[in-house]
Amino acid sequence: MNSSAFISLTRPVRARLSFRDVVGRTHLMEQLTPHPFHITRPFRHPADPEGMATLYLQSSSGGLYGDDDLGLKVQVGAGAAVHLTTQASSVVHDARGRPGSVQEVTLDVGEGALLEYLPDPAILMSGAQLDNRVSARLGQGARLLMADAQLIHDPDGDGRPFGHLANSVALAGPEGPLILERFELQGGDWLARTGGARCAGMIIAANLPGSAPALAEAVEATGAYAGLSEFGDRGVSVLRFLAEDGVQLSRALSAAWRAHRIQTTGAEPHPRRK
Amino acid sequence: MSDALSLLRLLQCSDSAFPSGAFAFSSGLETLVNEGRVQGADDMARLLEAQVIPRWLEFDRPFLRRAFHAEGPEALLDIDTTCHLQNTVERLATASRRIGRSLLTVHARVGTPGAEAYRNHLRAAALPHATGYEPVVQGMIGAGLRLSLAQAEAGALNTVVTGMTSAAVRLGRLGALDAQSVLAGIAAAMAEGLAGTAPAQPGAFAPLIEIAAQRRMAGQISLFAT
Repeated sequence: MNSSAFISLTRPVRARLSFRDVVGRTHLMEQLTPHPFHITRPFRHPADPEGMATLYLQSSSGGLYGDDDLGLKVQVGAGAAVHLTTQASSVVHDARGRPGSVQEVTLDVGEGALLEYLPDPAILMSGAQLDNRVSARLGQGARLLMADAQLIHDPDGDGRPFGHLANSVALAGPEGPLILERFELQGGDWLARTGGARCAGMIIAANLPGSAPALAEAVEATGAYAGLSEFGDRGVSVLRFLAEDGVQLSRALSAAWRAHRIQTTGAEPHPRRK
Repeated sequence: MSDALSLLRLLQCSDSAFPSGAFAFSSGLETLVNEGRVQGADDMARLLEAQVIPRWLEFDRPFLRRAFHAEGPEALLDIDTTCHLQNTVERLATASRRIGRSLLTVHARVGTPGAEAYRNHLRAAALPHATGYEPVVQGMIGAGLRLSLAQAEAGALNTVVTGMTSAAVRLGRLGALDAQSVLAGIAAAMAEGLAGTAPAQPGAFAPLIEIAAQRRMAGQISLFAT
């Protein structure tokens, strides 16, 4: 059936989170989390950077369906420190002939702030269609560690791939755009492009000097196939990697985060349970 | 320009003897060979079909087309700047700039219309680390030589593919005859790709070769810069 025959009944859903530093401690000052967005209570851990708040994002719907149109805006005020992650991977279900899901995340990291935005990967099921967009705007001296990863899953084992993936990650600093990483892909091309790996992703570090080689080494140690690009003129590093399965992918993401923390704080972070 | 004359200029620019500097780069192939991922003609054909050709069609081609239609050095510089922003594989970006700048220098020397003006514009802009990307220069040169867009695209894709097979020969993974067989076998896929609609926005997903281009085997001397 032609997807254009469908009239979407889905309304766009827009969520918003706003963090602010109040005398050295970061607080969630504002939240708007309409269904299917859901969040846990923020918490802190002594091993984290000073004042850091950790928040888990959850979905009360079980994933992305048909033509879901979800947007999340995250504001991290000047000097604040936030670890933002998800409880689990986002399952992108078979679009069943609909145009597909849109997921748009906007990160606004204020002057001197630190954001670790480390969502679990999107799982692209057979027939899934996803338009995934992440954009980050960094203030003067703002630091960002972020991940963007996907894995493919064919639950029936019949070889039916996901439908289509449009993916973009854009970073901008105080002076203007820093990088734009984008691609579009038909699901049937995934395995050829990855050399047979079911998972692919990247980790971007901005204004975290010296941490990128340690990240790359840590990811490589998990068995993932990784390559690091460093752009010193823009203070940005991009670590691309391929993983055989979801377990290796999770290990790679976790290893990168630990390596970053050891480099930046000198301490092993407390594991985030999921 | 007559068909024969434009064809002759295209052949000149696509010739492996044309001093573009492309011979210094393997675009990740050397790593894949050293890691045992590319061992012979079949692997090479798969790599070209699954990684190299799609990456050129999806990433380089739209920039070449924009540059081909660009009016003047300032418009070209805008395209170059966008190409820089989107070139997020550091070694491939560096290779693209070095090849592009070599092409620009040679074409300025031989009097290709537009080449000297753009070279001077880049000098004035003083952004050597961020401009002069290969597809932008190829598009500008194609227009300057009054090639058709289809000729400029075919020449650019051919340069990439023959550059890879040439690298494979020098790495000892293909014999000279094997390389020609691979090229003959892959031509249909190249033609099919060129006949398809170019994406409106540049952007490619070829992680295997992009990661390989960034990797270096510890303790191993490399023949190529990428």
